[in-house]
Amino acid sequence: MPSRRELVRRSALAVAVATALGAGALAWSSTLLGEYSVMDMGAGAAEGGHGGHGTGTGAGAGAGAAAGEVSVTSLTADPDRPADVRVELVARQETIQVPGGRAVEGYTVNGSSPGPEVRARQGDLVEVTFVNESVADGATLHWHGIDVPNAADGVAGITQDAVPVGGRHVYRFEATDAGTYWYHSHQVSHDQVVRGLLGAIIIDPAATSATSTDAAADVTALLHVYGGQHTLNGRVDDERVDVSPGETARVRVINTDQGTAAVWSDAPYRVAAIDGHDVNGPTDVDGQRLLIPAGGRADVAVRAPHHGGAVRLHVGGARSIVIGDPAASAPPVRQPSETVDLLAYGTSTPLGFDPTSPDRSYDYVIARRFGVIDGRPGNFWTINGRMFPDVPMFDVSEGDLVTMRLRNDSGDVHPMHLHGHHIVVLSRDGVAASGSPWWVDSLDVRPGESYDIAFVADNPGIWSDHCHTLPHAVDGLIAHVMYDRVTTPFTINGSAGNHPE
Amino acid sequence: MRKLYTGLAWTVAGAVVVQAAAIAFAFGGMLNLVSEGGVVDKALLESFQAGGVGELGFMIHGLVGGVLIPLIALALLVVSFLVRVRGAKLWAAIVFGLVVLQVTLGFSITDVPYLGLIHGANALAVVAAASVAALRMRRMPRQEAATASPTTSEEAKSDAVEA
Repeated sequence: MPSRRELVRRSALAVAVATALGAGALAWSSTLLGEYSVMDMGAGAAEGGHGGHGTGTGAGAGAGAAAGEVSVTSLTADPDRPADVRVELVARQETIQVPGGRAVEGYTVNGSSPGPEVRARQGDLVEVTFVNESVADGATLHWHGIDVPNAADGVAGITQDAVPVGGRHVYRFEATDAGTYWYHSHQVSHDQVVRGLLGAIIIDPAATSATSTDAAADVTALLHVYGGQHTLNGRVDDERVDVSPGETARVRVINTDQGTAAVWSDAPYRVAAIDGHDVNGPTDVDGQRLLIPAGGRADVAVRAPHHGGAVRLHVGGARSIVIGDPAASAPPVRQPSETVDLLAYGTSTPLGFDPTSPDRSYDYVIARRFGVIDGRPGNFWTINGRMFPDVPMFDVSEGDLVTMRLRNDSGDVHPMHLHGHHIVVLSRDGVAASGSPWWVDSLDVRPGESYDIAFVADNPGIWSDHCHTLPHAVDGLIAHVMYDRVTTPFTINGSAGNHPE
Repeated sequence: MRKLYTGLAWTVAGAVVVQAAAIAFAFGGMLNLVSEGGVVDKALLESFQAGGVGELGFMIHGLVGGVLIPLIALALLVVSFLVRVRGAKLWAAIVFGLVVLQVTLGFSITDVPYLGLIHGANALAVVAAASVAALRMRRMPRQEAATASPTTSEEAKSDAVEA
């Protein structure tokens, strides 16, 4: 028979345990997101600014149909303009035959992965009809790196509902900037991109453009890992490009994987373009590798040897392209440990705006800590010290010049990708950019690094600004740039089943 | 409660052995992949679909080290407050502290590889501390708990300081 003291002790313990469990359950359930709109995210975002500017006017979510509100669905390309390029892309959930390797379960576009390469000319109006034949979770197409009108951005739950099986969605945009881009699903993207719902889209310069290069060959090198197999344009094999001695091949490397890809050669090469923007005055890179962030692209110009033979360009860790005499061999070479620094590559030229007097100024500081997101415990990413969905909203007005400080206080590299805009790097760790303006849509921020970047808010809408190592986005590394008075009727986690990450 | 404490402590020690086995298996598999012409790069590591022999090893190491051991160590710390044995709280706290350090080191290795040297050595410290915690419980005479019970609970709380 326990003593009275023991009884009191035990009941006190029982009450304490019950209270702790109850409080724990309450705290846990408060992290459940349920159905939500991105418009409700990021209260108090203006605090994130470090320049004293950017007192957000706010989108006025829930303020009713206030005059001047614009829905993302109305932010389209000219609806009356006939399309110059028409493509139908059909997504299926099926086995991908990987030539040279073993088949893997995944997603195809028009029966293959990567899907067909879409090709347009600068200034064309591109119209893509997307059909979901059998992707159970629904799917979308996002035009990675193309500054499309917001309605065509393809982010499930923000700019559209995920296209269900049997559904279709039309994307229309003007191909404004020539360059190398890619398309991929932005619905359950950490799974659908990894397993193949993607393809290349190349925009050739307008005929009159001075940027049309003297390249004798123009080849695409789309990198993707299927079930542990490194592929080049979908094949577990290297490729050859037949060009005459002394001629140049332009190799458009597209990194569709989740991590940084290295490009190198033992012959000099030039970085002709980054993320669809030509480099001004590129010089020979010799004995250095070029690193391409996840989601990023680089056009690399390689000259075949003047007196015959061939040059091997390594693209990614496992594949390469041999350029020159198709009969000649070029042995693999070791990857250089030095990296070409794009901060000081090429020739400087004016940006066209003064980044020292921005209209808005924000911080985007990445760190990591333990916590619970949507009822799921884990070691999650934080933005400005706060965990999803309590992350900042970057409010902007059309025409604003926005600067942002991207800082990585975590131990992993993060390829940061802003939708709908290109950002220009102003400085890294306090060292000002001194080369060709470094315009990117995907930027690797390594541990401990800090980048000052700027962009012009010239494309109204609601735009994701996230890490393109897509599982990181699932774990909370995603924020948004929101133009004032822009609203979205779409929601995440609701009946439409939208899960953009 | 003593049995639970002992069981949790032994589980932590045993899980560290699993960790050592898993990571050795993982690197064996990775070397095997490379020796057969495979390439390990960031794209492969982030795709979580390497399909190589050792991939399971990395998954086990991440799951056991990142989730399981911290939870057990936390449970041990909680249980230690219910076991009125001298030093129980102190050793549970040491185990928990070492585990926190170990997880932090593990997540920082990519950035600072040299931390791996400490990570490996600290694993042995976790095993040692968890074993001491478990063994002390067995060695402690049963009556120490009995002599402790007539005294006030305030005294029991000071165990950690005294030991």
